[in-house]
Amino acid sequence: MALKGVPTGIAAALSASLLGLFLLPLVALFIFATPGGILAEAGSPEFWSSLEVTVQASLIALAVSVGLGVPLGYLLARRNFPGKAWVSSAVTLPVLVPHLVVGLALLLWVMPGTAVGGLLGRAGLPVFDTIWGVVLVMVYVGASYTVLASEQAFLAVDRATVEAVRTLGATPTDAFLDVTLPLSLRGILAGALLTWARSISEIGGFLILAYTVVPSPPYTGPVTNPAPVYIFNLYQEGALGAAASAAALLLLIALAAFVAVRLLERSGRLPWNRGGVGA
Amino acid sequence: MTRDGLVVERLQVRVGRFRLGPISGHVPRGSASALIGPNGAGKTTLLRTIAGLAPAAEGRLWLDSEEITLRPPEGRHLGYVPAGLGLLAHRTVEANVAYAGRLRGHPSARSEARRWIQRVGLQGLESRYPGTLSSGERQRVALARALAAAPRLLLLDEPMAAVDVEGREDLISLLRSIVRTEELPVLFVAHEPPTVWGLSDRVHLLDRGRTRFEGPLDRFLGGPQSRFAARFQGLENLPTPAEIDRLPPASILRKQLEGCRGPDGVAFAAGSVAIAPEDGGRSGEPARIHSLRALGRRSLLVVEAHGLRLLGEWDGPGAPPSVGDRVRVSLNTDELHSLGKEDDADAPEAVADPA
Repeated sequence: MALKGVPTGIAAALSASLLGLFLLPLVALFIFATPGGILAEAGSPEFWSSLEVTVQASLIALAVSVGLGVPLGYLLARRNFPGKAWVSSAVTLPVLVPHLVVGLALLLWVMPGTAVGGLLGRAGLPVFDTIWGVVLVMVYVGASYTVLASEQAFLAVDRATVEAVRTLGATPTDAFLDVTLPLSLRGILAGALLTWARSISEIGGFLILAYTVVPSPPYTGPVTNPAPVYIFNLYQEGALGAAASAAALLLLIALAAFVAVRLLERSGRLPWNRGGVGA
Repeated sequence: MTRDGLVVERLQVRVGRFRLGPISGHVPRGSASALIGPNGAGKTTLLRTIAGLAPAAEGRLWLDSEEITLRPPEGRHLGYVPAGLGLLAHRTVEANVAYAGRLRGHPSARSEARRWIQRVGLQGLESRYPGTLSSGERQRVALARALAAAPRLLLLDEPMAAVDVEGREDLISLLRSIVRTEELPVLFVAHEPPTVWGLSDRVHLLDRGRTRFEGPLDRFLGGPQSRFAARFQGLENLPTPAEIDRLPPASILRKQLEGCRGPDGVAFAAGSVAIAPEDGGRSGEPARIHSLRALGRRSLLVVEAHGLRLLGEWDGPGAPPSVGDRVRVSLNTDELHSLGKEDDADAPEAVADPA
């Protein structure tokens, strides 16, 4: 019995080390920021305009990522097609590409004067130094998580259930809406949450494509920077306390969103909570 | 095609490298057919093809004289209960059973669901979720859900796999009464002989994608045609022709086996092998006890005679002997069944007579 406990003890010690690495720097951040500093930063209009553009862009990016990523996840999970392995690899590519390279690659693709840049400009979606540049970077770096999570979620849905309802009279659309979607929603939501978290934590791509954000609908506020760039600028200027306070505030807002989603998930208002499904 | 129930006409299915068929058969209304065979024989593939979940490569399917070969699953009006049951885990028992009715917009979907819930003995569990039920109860929910869809055919894949012995008896009785009162044709896959003996009117034996037997249950029980059928019927001894040929020409055992030998050997139960003391004055082949085997309450002996091992019962006075003891073995030749070559077995190429 004593021998049995040894590997568990080692695993627990190693796990505690990693968790410490995750949590202790954040504790240090909050200690350095101080409640007073966080409150002061919360009164800064510059902080709120950077937060506004970041949240707006992240929600648009989330909608685009889910709208495009969930169907791709479904195809990867449920269909066989030529080149599927290549598509799977392409989906994971954005996770591997260094962030500055993302910004540079996107800039070269959409900058004014290129075919795509001209097209987007004519469509009223100028990208360089606008909210749409922020959205583009966010979708690029975040959508993979939605695709991968929804693929796994669709794979986890029991095919026998889908087939059984087909024999009961359900069309493929009925079966998708009644079985596949409700049972995979939890995984899709988890992927969406990761996508959103990844989006608002991005900075490398913004530094090149959307360092400054000039007003362009839907963002109509003053000229600003995406929130991570705003914090980086404070740090660059030597205002370490203000940078820590802004970072702590951004972290609190992100955590609040995360907790809200988890509470909704556990509230029983979503289908997977019924009957112990996915619990 | 004017016959009622399910008619399968030279059906062939290809799944990867696996080939099923050609399969022919008929399940008339008000009767149940058992689909048996070893793992990988193609039983579930056949059910899925009939349900429209796997495409037929060749052949045709008819349901109540209507061809359904190319119809999608939702257009076949049949009830299919897969081995995994396929219950909607996020919906209550009642919502599961009412699923088909609600899908079709039937105003009576709920009352019909309640009627079937009561019929399968699940009243009081309407608002429970499948995850909170026992495996036997879940099986009944799946059955009620399939029946509430008013199917023209019921397909059950291993309906007793997760049901205990007592529950199995109840479920067999329930299914039998449903087959009779609803005049339903039922095709079911089973691995347990009691389910087949208790529920089926006909037996369809598949092996490696081909039919090895198709006919009434009493004919199946009348004499095994193949080694699988013999094992399925509980015949433990299956000496092959090669094993019989290795016995000395003058041995009693060889003479007894030769008298009933088929192209694929002989099959007989342990109860047909009498094992007596060597010096008990009884005739029989000299043999030696190889090992002891407990089979429930029965204590059986494995004996070895000239390299041939047989499972038999002790037929002597006093306690059975020990491993290594010398004994005499004799067979009850009235209970020996000859085995045909599996490919020569009763495998219909055309639609079988629904007698």
